Amino acid sequence: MKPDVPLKDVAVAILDGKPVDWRRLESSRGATDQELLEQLKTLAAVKFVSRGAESEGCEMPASWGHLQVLEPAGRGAFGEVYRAWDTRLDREVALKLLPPDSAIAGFPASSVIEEGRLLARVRHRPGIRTVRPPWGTRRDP
Amino acid sequence: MPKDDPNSAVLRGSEAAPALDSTFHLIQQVRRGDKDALDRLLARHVGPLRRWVSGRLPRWARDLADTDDLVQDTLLRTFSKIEDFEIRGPGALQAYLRQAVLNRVRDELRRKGRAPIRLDEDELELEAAGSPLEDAIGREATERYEAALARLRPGDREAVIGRLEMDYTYAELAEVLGKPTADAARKAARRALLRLAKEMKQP
Repeated sequence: MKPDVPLKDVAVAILDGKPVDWRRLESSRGATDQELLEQLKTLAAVKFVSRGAESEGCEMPASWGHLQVLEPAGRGAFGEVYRAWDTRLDREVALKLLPPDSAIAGFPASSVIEEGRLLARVRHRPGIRTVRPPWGTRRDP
Repeated sequence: MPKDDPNSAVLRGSEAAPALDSTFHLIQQVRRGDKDALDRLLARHVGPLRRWVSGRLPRWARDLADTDDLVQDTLLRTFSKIEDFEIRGPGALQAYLRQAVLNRVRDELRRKGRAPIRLDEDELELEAAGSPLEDAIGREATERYEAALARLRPGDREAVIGRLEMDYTYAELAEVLGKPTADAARKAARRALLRLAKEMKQP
């Protein structure tokens, strides 16, 4: 049996923008709390947006792994999208970078779908042919 | 002295008042021509309001209205004309400032809307997405969040928005909510957040 985390501690973590282990919470909480956890996840995402707004315009990396970053292409709620040059495949790709401490796992599915839509829009821009991985965070190029 | 002992009278004493002048006190000083008080007021409120606007407006609207300037300008105007008696209750000034900023942004967009705006099709499509808030949680959840916020007591509502969307420190939030300490503000925000989550479950 996994130790339970009091909901008031979860609330403080959300308010402070700290990561929350949603999977652990979901498995340790009964069926009646699952809907409440869904709402709390949504509120964690709201906090994430205000943090994202603050860090907006943060520095563009020169490269990410074997990708040379060319220019910003757009911005979703959970990170930046860049035009990048894949030096291995010798072609242009879209690179999506998530913030370093994003506890993105467990965020509402809608947010991921919206990010996918943003990427899809980028994909259709002239000169960009693929949005396949890399899909990573700033921490692990 | 055990620093973490919540029962320590000495600790409670040292936390008895947040180390912030009240916003109303600062406003009065501004009216007497105190430049330093104005700087402190702006330093306290510009960032949180900018964060809030950034989350709530689509990017194209933020760019068009140059919200950074608008927030600062709106605060300057508001602080110079606001009367103490206009604002009563916990967080009432916060709500007032947000509304003032929102009105100003709307006016600016309306004014700019008269000028022809040209964007190429790709740009338009990329920037036609909703606000970052709506992008992050979806339209349905945004509406549920808004509706539940509206059903909360004003103090709870301001505690949530102040910390969640505006990212006030707890000391600043204590000042906003009229709480005696940062810790009291933290507890109030925590309770308000759980109430909101329960309220969002309601159909």
